[in-house]
Parts: sequence; C-alpha cells; structure tokens
Amino acid sequence: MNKNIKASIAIAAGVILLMGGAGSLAYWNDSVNVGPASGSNSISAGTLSVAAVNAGTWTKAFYNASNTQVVAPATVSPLSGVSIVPGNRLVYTQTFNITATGQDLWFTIGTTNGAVSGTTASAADTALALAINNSTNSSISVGSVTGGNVVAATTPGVYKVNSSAGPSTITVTWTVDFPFGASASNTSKLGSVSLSQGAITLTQVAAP
Amino acid sequence: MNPNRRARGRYRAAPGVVSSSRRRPRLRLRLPGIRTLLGATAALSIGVGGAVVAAGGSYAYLNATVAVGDGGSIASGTAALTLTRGAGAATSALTIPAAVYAGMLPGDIVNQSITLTNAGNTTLLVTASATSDGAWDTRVASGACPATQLGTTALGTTPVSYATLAAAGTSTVCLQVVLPASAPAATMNTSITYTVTFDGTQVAS
Repeated sequence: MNKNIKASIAIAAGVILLMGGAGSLAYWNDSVNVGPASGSNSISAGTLSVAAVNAGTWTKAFYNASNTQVVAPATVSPLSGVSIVPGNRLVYTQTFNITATGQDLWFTIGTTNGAVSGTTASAADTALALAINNSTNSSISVGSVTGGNVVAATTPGVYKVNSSAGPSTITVTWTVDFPFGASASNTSKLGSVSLSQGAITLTQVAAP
Repeated sequence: MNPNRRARGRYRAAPGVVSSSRRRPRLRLRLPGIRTLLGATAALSIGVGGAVVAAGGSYAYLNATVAVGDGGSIASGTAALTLTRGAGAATSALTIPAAVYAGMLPGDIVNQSITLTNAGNTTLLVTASATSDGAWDTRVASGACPATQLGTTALGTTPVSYATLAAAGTSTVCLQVVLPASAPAATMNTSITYTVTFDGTQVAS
C-alpha cells in the first residue's frame, strides 16, 4: 500500500477518534428567572407639576407713608382702567394646583418676580417704573400650601408629599406698590409701565 | 490623470495596463496628516462628549415652572386743579378782566364766584395764597359770595388751608377783593396785578 494512502488512513482515523471523544467533554447548566413575574413587573415614576387654576384678579388699596392701609383693597377690572397714584398698592392674586406624586418627593417653591418697565422711555414712564421697582413691597410671594397631599416639611421652605390624595393649592400674589413718599415729586404723573409675567418654580430637593 | 505620474499611497494601476503579479509596483503608504488627525480627534471628542451629556441627563431631578401674573400695563394718574369762571372753560390759570375792578374806592368789595375742580385722580389738600395785592385785601371762602366782607383772614404769601377736595370734586370759591376804607391816599389812580394761587397737595386718604 502506498505510504501516502496509509498516512491518510491513519490521520482520518485519528480525527474520527478525536471527534468521538469531544462529545463527552460537556458541563451542566441551568437558569431561572429573577424578579417579579409578569403582571407585577412595572415601575412608575412620580411627577411634580404646577398649573394655574384661574386667570387671577387685581385689587387696589391705599397705604400712607407709614405703610398703614387707609383704603381697603377693592377689585379692579380691567387693569387698564386704573390710574394709580402714590400710595396705591395693586395686588394680583392667582391660584395654582400642585400635583406631586412620589413617596420620597421633597421640593421647594421658588419665585421669579415679574418685570415692571416703562412703556416708553419718557420721563413719566421711567419715573413710575423706578418708583414701583424701588419699593420693597413690589414682589411675588407664595402663600401656604393647602389641601391635597403636599405638606410643609420640617425644613423651612421645603415641602413633601404625604399619603393624602389630590392636588394641593397655593395662592400666589404679585404686589405692585407705588409708595407714598415724604416729599412732592410729580415726574411720574400720567406715566405708564408694562408688566412681564413672573414665575413660580417647583424644584425637587434631596430629603432634608 | 497623468499616466506618467506615480500613484501615491494606494496602488493604482495605470489605465489600460494590466498589472503583473511578477512585478507589482511598490506600495507607498502615507501617514494621515496632522489636520486629519485633529479632525478625527475632534469628531471623536464630540461624539464621546455628546454621549456623556446625553447619559448625564438621566441623572436629574424634577422641577416644574409656571408663569405668574398679568402681562398688561399700569398707568399712573395725575393731580390737577382747574378754575372755571362763569361759562368760561376750565383752566389752570384764570385771568379776571381788569374791568371787574375798575373804579374801586376805599371800602368797596368786588366778589367773583369761581369753581375750583380737582381734575386729578387723588384727594388734594388745597391751600390758597396771594401775592402783589398791594393795598387791596384778597380773601377766599367756600360757598356763595356774601354782600359783606368775608370773615376769613386776608391772604398773604403764606399758604393757608382752603379745603380738601376728593378726586373729581368741586368747590365754589368766593374770591373777594377789598379796598379797605383805611387805604392810603397814594392808592388813588393806581392799579395792581394780583395773583391768588390755589395749591393742591396729595393726601393719604
């Protein structure tokens, strides 16, 4: 028999032996699912949102130089029909709903003041805007949270969600104060200012 | 392409020439230029940076914002006083004709009824004062003019309180000019131009 043929037969036999032996070199394994079964395997995130309940209303009152109210607030509508004088304090009141869900949700309520600027660059408009903006009473403030599932946390200014249901309500006021002064100044007569909306912002914070 | 030009970088066979396996042209590799490297680095950085930023957005916190207030405008009012004599127009500077006072003798009284109006938007405390009335006395009082001399003090340069007028309020003023019986003889055939000023100041009401 040819040497080459013999060698080929021997190699083929060796390969066959090796292939037969490979089938026995295995290992065992098994697997099992981990986690909740279908039907209870979803996770939901909470939310934090704020939305206006109404369009808000304006009132007008009068305060003297000692910051004492001498004329009680009365509703004014429309605002464009009002001519304010030193001592007048306009207050815009608007209600918002806070929707907050999440068992460990703490948040703060921040404010951004609305802008008051002269309608034109005239001396009267500029003086009126300056008088209003210089008043420490001109600002946006947030009243206490009422109802729903939001309550004040132990840390001042921080709110948290409790087990109650439903949205909570906050009342936001924007005060535009034209203060009564100690001396006469007529520059602001017949002036006009334009208002730009402010904002309130709810911001989640880590547990206080 | 110039057939005589040698290909750089990648091997390119000349058009119409079949390359031979025995004698292949020598391949020359060109390293990428600095600009190419920088461009690639920048692209890689942007890609990695973008991916990191996008991934970082998922580690956030909740917040919500809503607009507050009215985007309208606010107008200021004014403070103004006007005077009206008879059927004349309201004005801030009323001139009474000299003829009204012509030929006054000592003891004579000339009355003028004037309507004072608060034409502004706020309550005003009104004072009155007089200048340049010489030997004559000027007096003001609220209401209709009497036939006799008013009981009020003759006006001087120091303002005296006249009335408090609410916005849009009016007051009938009796302006009385008297040439006193004690007027000096030097007053004869003389004339003056007097001025009575009503000044309104806003009050915190």
